[in-house]
Amino acid sequence: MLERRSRTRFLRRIGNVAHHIFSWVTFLFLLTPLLIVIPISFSGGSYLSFPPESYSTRWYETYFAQDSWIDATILSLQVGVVATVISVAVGFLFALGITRGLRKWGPALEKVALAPMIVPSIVYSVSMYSLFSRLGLVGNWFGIALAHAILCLPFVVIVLTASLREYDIDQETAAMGLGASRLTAIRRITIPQIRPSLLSAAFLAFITSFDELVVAMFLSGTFGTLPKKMFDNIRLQIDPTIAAVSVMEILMVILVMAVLMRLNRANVGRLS
Amino acid sequence: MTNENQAVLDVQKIRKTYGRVEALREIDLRVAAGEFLTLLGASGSGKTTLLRIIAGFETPDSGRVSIRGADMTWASAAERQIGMVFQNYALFPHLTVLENVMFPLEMRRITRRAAADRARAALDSVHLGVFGDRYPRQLSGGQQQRVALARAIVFEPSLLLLDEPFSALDRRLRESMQQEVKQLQSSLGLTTIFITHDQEEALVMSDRIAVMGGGAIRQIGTPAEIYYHPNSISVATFVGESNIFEGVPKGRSFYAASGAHFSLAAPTDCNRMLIRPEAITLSRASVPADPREANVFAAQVLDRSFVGGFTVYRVRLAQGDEVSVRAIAREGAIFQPGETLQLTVAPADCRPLTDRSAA
Amino acid sequence: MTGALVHLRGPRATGMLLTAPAAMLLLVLFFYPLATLFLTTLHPDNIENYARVVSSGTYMQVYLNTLRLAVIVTVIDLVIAYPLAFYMCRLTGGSRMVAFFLLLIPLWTSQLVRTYAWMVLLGRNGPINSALMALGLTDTPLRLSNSEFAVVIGMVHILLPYMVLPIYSSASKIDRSLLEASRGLGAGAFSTLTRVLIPLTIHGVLAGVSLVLVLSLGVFIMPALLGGGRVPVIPLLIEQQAGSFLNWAMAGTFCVILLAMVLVIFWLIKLSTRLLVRGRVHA
Repeated sequence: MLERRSRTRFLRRIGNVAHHIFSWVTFLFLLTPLLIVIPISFSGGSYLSFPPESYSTRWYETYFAQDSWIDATILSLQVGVVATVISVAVGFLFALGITRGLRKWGPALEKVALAPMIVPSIVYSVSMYSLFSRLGLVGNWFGIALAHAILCLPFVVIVLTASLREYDIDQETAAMGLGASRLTAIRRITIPQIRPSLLSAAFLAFITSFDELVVAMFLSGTFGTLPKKMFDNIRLQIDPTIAAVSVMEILMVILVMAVLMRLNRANVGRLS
Repeated sequence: MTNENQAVLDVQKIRKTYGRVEALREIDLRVAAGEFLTLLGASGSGKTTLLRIIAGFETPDSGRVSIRGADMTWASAAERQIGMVFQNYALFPHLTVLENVMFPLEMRRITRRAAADRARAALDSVHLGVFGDRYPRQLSGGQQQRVALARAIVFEPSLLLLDEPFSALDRRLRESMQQEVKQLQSSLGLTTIFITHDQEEALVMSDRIAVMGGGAIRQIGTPAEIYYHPNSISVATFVGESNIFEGVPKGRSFYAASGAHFSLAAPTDCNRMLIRPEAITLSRASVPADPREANVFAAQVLDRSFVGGFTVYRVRLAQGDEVSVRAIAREGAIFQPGETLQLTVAPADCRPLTDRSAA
Repeated sequence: MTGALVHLRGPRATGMLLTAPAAMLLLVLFFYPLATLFLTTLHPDNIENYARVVSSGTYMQVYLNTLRLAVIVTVIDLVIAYPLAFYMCRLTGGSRMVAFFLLLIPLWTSQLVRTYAWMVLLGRNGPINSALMALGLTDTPLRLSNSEFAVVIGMVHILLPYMVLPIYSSASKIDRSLLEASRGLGAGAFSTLTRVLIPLTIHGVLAGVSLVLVLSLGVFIMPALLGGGRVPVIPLLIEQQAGSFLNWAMAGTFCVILLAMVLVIFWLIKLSTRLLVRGRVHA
């Protein structure tokens, strides 16, 4: 009896340890590709090898020295910001609408707004190309921003409806009882309290657009966004400039994520 | 309409249905200036819907809401000048206590400085003057409650609505808050509507109580009227403990189904009767009594429970009715289960229930 | 009086007004172009493209290959994500924060960056080959990239968080005492898994499966960059028809068939969710 119990305990402990190891190996698997580009971005040689034979910052210099990289970056920032503004503005109103007035139809409408997530981006690109070529919008950066706004919308809607469903609507009611109009109540009371979610939504929308390749490839015509430039670069002349760009992108993501997590924690602390 | 009998709030024939559910059916209610009126009812009785219609968060299907004589049925919540304290207080977590109290003043375009002064005065009146710079989360439940109260009265509303404000507090704190709110209310002369499902709270605080059930006001009156002269079983059982007898009336007599005979103070034709547990006296000595002055029965103690200042006995009359009795717990006057005692009730304490509808 | 108008409009009208901009945007820039695309492929000039696709062994092969790849990736992700999601539920405080950080950073980094990283990792002179040779496991570098293997690894990596998050969200709702109760009632590890854990997480699992399956059917970057032309999938075929051959009609037909595939799979999983959940309730 005792022997059996200790055997069970032993097996359970083995299982436990295996679970630990498996999980952290998986996290390592998730992280490795991001870590590996760091040394490569500082390599001194002009072709890929690991570990690099010498170290330099020449690939960062290449990036900043070449107009084509800088132009592509600026274009992508521009498209990203506009797509973010459109999708967050429209998505926030939408989330308000389906969590307030349209409780009954809300879930169904929400699914409609999530549809762009499941349509393959290549399919969407082809359909948008034919629309935009008729409208003469191919090659127009604003056209790309509009198309990107559609792709960003599902993320914005998911984040904001979740946050608004959790938000205590009595707060808004109370503000109106104290003399605020609905609009003032939303501006002064609701928005400050869901600000972390608004920022998360904006961040998700921005990176969705900033990283998007396929739609930009079809709609950008002659000039290129940053992902398009990176894609061509990887395809044609795989040199470590791309690693330098990657490192900068990863740093940007980590930075923003850290800020968002801090904000969220501060907010959770304040509300509890 | 003359000025002196003009009600602060006049609710006329309010109806509200949600889908096929009748939440309110023809509610009429008048609240006089300075009055403290309680809407008492279980959940689903319609009291919250009525409150939300008065506050302007819902609109009635038909009927009229007037405040100080002006029709406000379709006015927005902001136009009504009503101060409200929510069940969960609904303090704004991202604003300080002072900013919370200033909020309604800012909404009325009062300058920041004047608003801050008035907000501080309001906080002083609830003894929270020093907490202005804190955030709501840094205060205790009772303190948050007071902030909510200060915020609701700071703009001198014509009407104060309190939606179960004490339900989240523990018993001791609740009692002291009840007193404090009552004091503040009467010193400011605030016309107040208070919502609760707690009958004790209602009896302690109110000038008048409206007992609600099934979307209607079952009875409205002073706490004493509601307690001593409930018009129906539902009101009687909701407010206080009660012994209900069914039977046949005959002039000033009432014959319970068991055969027990009671003398009444006045003739009645009601077939239900109420006796409050504390109106009954138990004694060991058998005192012969005039049946017109007292109803006397032999009763056997079934069990007893000691509840602090008094003892609750469950006894069975010789005729078979089980009755609960509340007696002041005096040492030496404690009866044992199994003892046979004399049970006395004055005819005036046998109260017919006028409402004939089934419970 | 204005107050009356506001109230008469009611919350439903307000809701409709608020959702209108998004609805318009979706209608004009999403549903309309997709509908046009579909109608164009039905045009008499183009309709025989469907016959060409269906009768062509090569094209059908590519569709099957796309589906096969998606299924492989989904199965691998499920097998990895399931224990990982439960592991994350066990974590508390700081280590859970770290785990989320590790899961979300890859999710939020550019797919191009991650694909590039895998190209480096799996390259001829990449760290994996270097390590293998240093350990003496192989003399000549293995051809790891430009293969289906590389595409599968890349896709598994990129789509894993999409599988973990829904499973985590349903697993985190399971009361720990439930598992202890199951063990206390004498259930072994295996029956705890099949009788308690899986039924309780089936929603998350199916959500993750449908998400990963649907996303992997449309993946373009990884087959293009990690496949080295050896991994034919429909998105590549579409890009080739449109980009290189400028045959938009044919590209459209491919698109419609791919979209139909996605929708059918999505719908099948929805259906099976409903059946499984109902079955459980009746059982």
